Amino acid sequence: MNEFEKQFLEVQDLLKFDDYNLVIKRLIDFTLDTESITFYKKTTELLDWIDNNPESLELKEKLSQLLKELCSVLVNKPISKKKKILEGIDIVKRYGASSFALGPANIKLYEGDIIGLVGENGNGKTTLLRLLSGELYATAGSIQYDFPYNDLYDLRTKLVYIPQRTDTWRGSMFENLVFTASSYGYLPQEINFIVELTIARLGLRKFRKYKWKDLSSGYKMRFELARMLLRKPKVLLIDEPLANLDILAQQTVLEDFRAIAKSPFRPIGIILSSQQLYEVEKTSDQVIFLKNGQQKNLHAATTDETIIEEGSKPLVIEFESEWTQSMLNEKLLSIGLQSIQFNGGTFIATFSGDKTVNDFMKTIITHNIHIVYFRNISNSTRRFFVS
Amino acid sequence: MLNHPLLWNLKIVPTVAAAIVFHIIFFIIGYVNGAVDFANTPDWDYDNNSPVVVFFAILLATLSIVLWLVFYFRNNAYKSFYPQNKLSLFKEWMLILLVCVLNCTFSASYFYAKDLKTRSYFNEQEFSRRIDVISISSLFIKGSYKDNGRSFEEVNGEEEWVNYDTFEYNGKKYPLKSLLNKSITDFSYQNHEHDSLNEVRVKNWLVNNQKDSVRWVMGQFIKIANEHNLKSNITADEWLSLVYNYPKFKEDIIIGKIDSYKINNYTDYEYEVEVIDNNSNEGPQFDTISNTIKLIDDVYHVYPKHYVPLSQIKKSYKKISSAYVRPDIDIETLLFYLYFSLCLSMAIFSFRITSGKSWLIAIVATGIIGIITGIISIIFSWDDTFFVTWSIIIICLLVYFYSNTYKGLAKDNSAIVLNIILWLTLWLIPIIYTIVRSIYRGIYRSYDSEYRVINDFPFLEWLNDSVSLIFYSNLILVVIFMYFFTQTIKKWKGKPEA
Repeated sequence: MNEFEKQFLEVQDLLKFDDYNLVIKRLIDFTLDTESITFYKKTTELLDWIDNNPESLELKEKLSQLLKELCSVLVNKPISKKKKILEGIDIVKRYGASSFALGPANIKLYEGDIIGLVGENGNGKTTLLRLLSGELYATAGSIQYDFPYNDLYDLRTKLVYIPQRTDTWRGSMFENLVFTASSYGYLPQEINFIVELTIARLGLRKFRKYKWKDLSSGYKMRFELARMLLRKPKVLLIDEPLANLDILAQQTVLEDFRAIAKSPFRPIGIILSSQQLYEVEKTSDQVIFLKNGQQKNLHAATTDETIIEEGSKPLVIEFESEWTQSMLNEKLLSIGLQSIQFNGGTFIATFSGDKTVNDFMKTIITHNIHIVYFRNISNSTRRFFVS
Repeated sequence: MLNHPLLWNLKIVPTVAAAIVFHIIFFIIGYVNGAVDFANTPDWDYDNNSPVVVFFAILLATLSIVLWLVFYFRNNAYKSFYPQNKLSLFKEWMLILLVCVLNCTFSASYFYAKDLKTRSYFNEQEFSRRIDVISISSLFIKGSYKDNGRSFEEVNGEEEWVNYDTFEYNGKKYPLKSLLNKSITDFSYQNHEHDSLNEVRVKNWLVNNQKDSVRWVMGQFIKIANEHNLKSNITADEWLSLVYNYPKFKEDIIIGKIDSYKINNYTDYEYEVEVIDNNSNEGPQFDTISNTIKLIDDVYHVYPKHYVPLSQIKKSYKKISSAYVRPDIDIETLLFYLYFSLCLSMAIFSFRITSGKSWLIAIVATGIIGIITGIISIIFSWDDTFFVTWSIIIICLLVYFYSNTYKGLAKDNSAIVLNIILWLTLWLIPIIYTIVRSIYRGIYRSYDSEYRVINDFPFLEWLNDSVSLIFYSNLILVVIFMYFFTQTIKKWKGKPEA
């Protein structure tokens, strides 16, 4: 079963459970994958129909029909092989008189992969993104881009960097996106359809005639993503995309990233920075933690093709409790507690590698320790923040 | 937009269409304003409309450009790193230049149409014939005498004023009030040689008693006057009989050049005063043989007994003559418009491809360098220090920019340099031209612009006569330069910022 077939089954499941919003998003992805104006028209017509008949019982049938048609076309379309698109080797960036230096950092990005950059403020996340986007030059080391480009300008057209503070868009959102599409050489007859579909893909249909100043931060970010999609980049570098988003919007945007990156026919590599550790970890194929410019990877890469988990690691649990540190220490020693730290309202308990979460839970119940929440952060970059 | 995002971004179709409409409006206003009122004889003929039109042209151009920029700056494919082919920036600059030229030349359309209308009454050959007729006829109408009968001479070893009542023309003596002691009216359209020939021609007619020729030219003058519905109170024959006193041609009767005019004691110089007795302190005295005088409310009303409408004709034909000789829009004034538009296009383009911050810093930096070079040139007291310094600065900036683009690691401050290059490089050739001309003037110390000897200084003469050629050639060179330079700018843009 190839990647498309897997995704197709997922969408069928979504349809079975009437999750129409997600189905429509994935249908738009498939439609764009066809690169066929016939399907662009069909899907746009369906979107118009949905706007006019939001509660219609025919919706499921229509979606199912379109999904089948799309599948019949895409099932025979060759799927691109996952290729390395970017590699940074021992990248160092020093800023003149400043004592801060990033690196040496090593990073490898494959088509369809998402790399999350995490770390406290001022530790080099933005610097690394800017280096990879060509905005900054590396003081030492090298960055290789494994796709053809004519010159640096041409390279930068293929690397989309969305900074945390984006420039204001002037004029209507729709016009801006049509301008982007026409600049990227889409056929005149398909531009309006593609822009409509991209807008719909990111849930922006009702905002297309809006002005920039009338949009919330979340929708501004989505319009940036819509523009990025039209630019067909090889690499998307995005700085703090989740900042200013509510928790629901964060999950939606991350899910969009995942779908965009993992497209079977138009995969792109995404590197994003964020403070939302757990959300980023859920979505990313690799997470890089930066502290004082030094890099720590969540997963260690062993070969070019595969990424595997690191070996045996201690069990690290983050939890919140009304008990004091010494009371907790006394009770948890029984299951091999190595250390316990109080860290801004939560406790971080480290146990030897042979212990499991279940052992921790048993102890909690046995001693009737009152806890508000707990999380296993053994495989999270969270542990880098607290250690 | 779907096919041509650049044209859409520049809003080129509505902008050019609006500019063309404005040009047509200004052209029509100019054409209407260029009409010559042949009957008009204002003493003060000042063009009140043109300053107002120029003001509105500037106002309209400013508003149009600001409005255009608001729309143009909405999108920037280059800054957003959208794909651009190697000529995209060049095309963009050329289109900016087109918009600037169209918007900065509203007043040029007005002035061109004004002169066009003024020249449109007759074809050039007919106009030339008419001013010959008017010039020659003017000899037989009221005018001043060349020799006023007084000269400063040495008498008995002392220099003193000597009065005499005759003068000599072609070896013969004539009374001071002879027609042969007068000049003809000249028009700027004709050169001095042509005027002199006309004067000699008419005086030869008189000396040779070619009465028919004089009769013919007077007839032609009256015909011109009638054509413009201007009154004369004499016919050509009456005119001839009044002034044609062969052989001495003494003007006993003066033919007026207008039907009436006024004089008062407090009048300004525009009024024509004919004082008969210079020693009289009792106000102006008049030639009552040729004029009828009426004093009304302390103002003398002078009515020539015989007149032809030379004043009106002279005024209107001089206006037409000016439209030929000194049109408001000619090859030199057009240069001003073109260079102003070029500078504006460079200012907009540089802002567009760099940033507001580097653009402002570049202005300040240019100002400071300007002050420093000014002070240096004062210290060195050499006229060309300023130009030499600036040409060196421009060349150094170009070298720095190219080296930064092709060899530097990052852009650093090159955006500021790029701004200055775009503003100043267009002046490099004119500056070098000024320096070369100055150097050659220094070499040819004997050269004096008052007494040019072309054969001795042919290159310097060529330099002096080729200002327009140099500036127009420079325009072409700037376009060629920008063709290549915009490609470098695109390469530069791809470089890291820091």
